[in-house]
Amino acid sequence: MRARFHCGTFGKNGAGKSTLLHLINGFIAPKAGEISVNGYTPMDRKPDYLADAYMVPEEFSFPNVSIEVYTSAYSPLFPRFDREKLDNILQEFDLQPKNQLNKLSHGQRKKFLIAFALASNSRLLLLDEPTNGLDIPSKSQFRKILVSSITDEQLVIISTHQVKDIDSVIDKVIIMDNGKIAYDKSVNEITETISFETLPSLEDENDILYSEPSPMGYRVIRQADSFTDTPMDLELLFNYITNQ
Amino acid sequence: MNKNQFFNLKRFTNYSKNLLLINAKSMLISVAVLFVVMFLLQFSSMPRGKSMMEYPISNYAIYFTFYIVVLGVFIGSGFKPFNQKVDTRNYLAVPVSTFEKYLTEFLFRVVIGTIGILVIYWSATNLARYAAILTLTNPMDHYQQIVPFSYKALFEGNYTPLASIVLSTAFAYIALFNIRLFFNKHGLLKTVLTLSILFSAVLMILIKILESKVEKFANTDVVYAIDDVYFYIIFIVGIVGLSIFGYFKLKEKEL
Repeated sequence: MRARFHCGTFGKNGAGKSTLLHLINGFIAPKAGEISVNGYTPMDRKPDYLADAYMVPEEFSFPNVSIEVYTSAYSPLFPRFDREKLDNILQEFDLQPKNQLNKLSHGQRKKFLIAFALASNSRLLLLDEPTNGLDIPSKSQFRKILVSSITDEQLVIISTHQVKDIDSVIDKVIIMDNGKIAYDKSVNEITETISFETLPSLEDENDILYSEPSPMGYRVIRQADSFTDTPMDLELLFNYITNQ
Repeated sequence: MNKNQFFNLKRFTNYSKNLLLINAKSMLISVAVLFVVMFLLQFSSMPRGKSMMEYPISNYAIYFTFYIVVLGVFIGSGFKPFNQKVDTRNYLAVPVSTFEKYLTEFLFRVVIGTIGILVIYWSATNLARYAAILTLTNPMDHYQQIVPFSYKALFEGNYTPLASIVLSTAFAYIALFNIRLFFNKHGLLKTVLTLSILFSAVLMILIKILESKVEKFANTDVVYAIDDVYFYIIFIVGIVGLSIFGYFKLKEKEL
């Protein structure tokens, strides 16, 4: 994968999404084969690599300190850390440096972790279920901040079940099934080859690849023609791939 | 970024500062609690008021032993993040080398911990002594009635050489520190159990060997013929070996 990609990794429970992120971050060793990221073997856990690959896990914990103390303690360990960027994001998330981390709600702590991850300017950002625990306004804030904060040097890999939360911010889709990559395409490739439509009925429709009943009739995936450009429906695509 | 991936002084310093910032409050509370507990224990055991009881240096030994155990618990509780999966992930993700993580924990737990405990014990004990002396009302020489505490006095006249005591204690602490890395949850408890089993097994083997040697050379001093130097070498090699094992175990740790 190359930089400036926002890659969405999807899969059912136990499909291996989090395991993939853990492998990339060097938390676990591969049972077979090798992993190489930017010339590093993640499991070597070299400091330069760890400073350049930041993971926001689904479950996390913080020491009993304020945002200010946490930032003073951890930011010097990330050579590209941008304090100004952190302050701006914290402001957008309505978090104060004097806030005690363990007195914040789960969603607020997650927002801080996301802010810290973005301010670390690590070239590889691994976000595991980043929108879990965020309220609706925060989800949209998250999307806005993510898109505006990422530089051309960075690659973001997002693993999630909440496909609708991130479908507007990704440009590559990876669907995992049983620990394997079942689907790997860029959004451009997807929308060029298939289209997502709503049909009142399926009668006389021969080129339907997949369909699901919906309140308006049927949501369908069909081969794209060169004249129509439809927005991607990630949930439908996911069901199509995993039901194949 | 061309920094040394094994050890970099700036990174090491930043990481040490990180630990101090994060743990400053709990460390200060622990030091204060240890000081107060030792002061109260020691003070309550000393003669006060009209008491004519003498307080020799040997009376300090039991409390000192208690502190030696406290230090063992502190050292054996190292690498705390491995108690929880979530904390393990945070710890493994910190961008410093495994050697820097190992060294920082070693300095913090073993070196600073040992010096800290010795200083806390010395100061709490002597303060308790002065406090007890102030309460004494008998006609004795109060400064001699409760002898002053010093580490030199504590070990003077001991049959076992000081080097043996220091080395065997250091070995036990290093074992606690490193064997803990073989476990995740309840690391200290599992380490103590493992060490107890290992120690008992080694002791039984040694006794068997010595028994057979004594029978074979019934009229010789075989037991004493084993020079202290061999024990020192065994302890030193053991300390280095355990540290190397511990480092590589930390390097291989997974979530």
